[in-house]
Amino acid sequence: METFANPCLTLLTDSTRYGELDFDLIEGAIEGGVDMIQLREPAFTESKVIKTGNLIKEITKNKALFIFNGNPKIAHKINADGVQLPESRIDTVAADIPKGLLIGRSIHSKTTALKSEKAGTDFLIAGTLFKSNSHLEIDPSGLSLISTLCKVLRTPILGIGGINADNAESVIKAGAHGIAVISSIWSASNPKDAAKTLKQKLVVN
Amino acid sequence: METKTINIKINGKNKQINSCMTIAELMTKLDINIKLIAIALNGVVIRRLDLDKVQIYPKDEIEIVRAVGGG
Repeated sequence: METFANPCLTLLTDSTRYGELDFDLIEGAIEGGVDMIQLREPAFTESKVIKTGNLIKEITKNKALFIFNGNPKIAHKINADGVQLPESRIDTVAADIPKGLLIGRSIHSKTTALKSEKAGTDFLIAGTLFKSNSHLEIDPSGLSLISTLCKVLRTPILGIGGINADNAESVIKAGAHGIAVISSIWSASNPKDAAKTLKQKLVVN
Repeated sequence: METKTINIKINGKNKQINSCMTIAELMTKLDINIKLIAIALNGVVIRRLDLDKVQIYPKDEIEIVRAVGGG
């Protein structure tokens, strides 16, 4: 199993918003410092997930973690390093998940974070921290969500939602283990440089 | 000299192409940007590094998968 980086810079895919996945961009982002790629494509058929997952696995091999955001059985099938479960799958406990997969869970509150830790999780993605293009309808929680969670959890937490080079450092200072981003890299004019800049912001002295 | 052609299938449709082509060459000919797709040859996903090495043979079945939702 690949190791979980500290600090951890995660890039999620979102072809619905940013168009066809650019595998060169993913490769460049990893070169720039991305530690984890999450394939998050709810509109993909299983066949499409398997084929694109195969390529991402090849790109990430020995360089970054490859997490499939979705069904744990498919994550296992595509040899992902782990699976990311939504908050609605809080009832899926570690024993239900194929062995060897890292378990990530997306959470939005202290209550579900505590439940997640009980259900078994290797890392949590917590948000929405700031106003995000992906969730314009959601009122952001702000950094208080991270600082609150850090006081009660032992699990590493990655912040998500509207994180960019200007606020990334504040997420780490609030106690997060890393960040997860979409637009800050996918919409950057130079995604590799954007990843590099974000990574530098995560190394807080 | 006459160019030899072979019959293959691309996304389930019969297609005649010049023989001795690699997958990368075929994609260039079809004007498809290889950085935006996954390609399976007879059901096996071809590694990105191998696209310009893997030769296409008669009756090969190539699947070009656009990495975008839908379709």
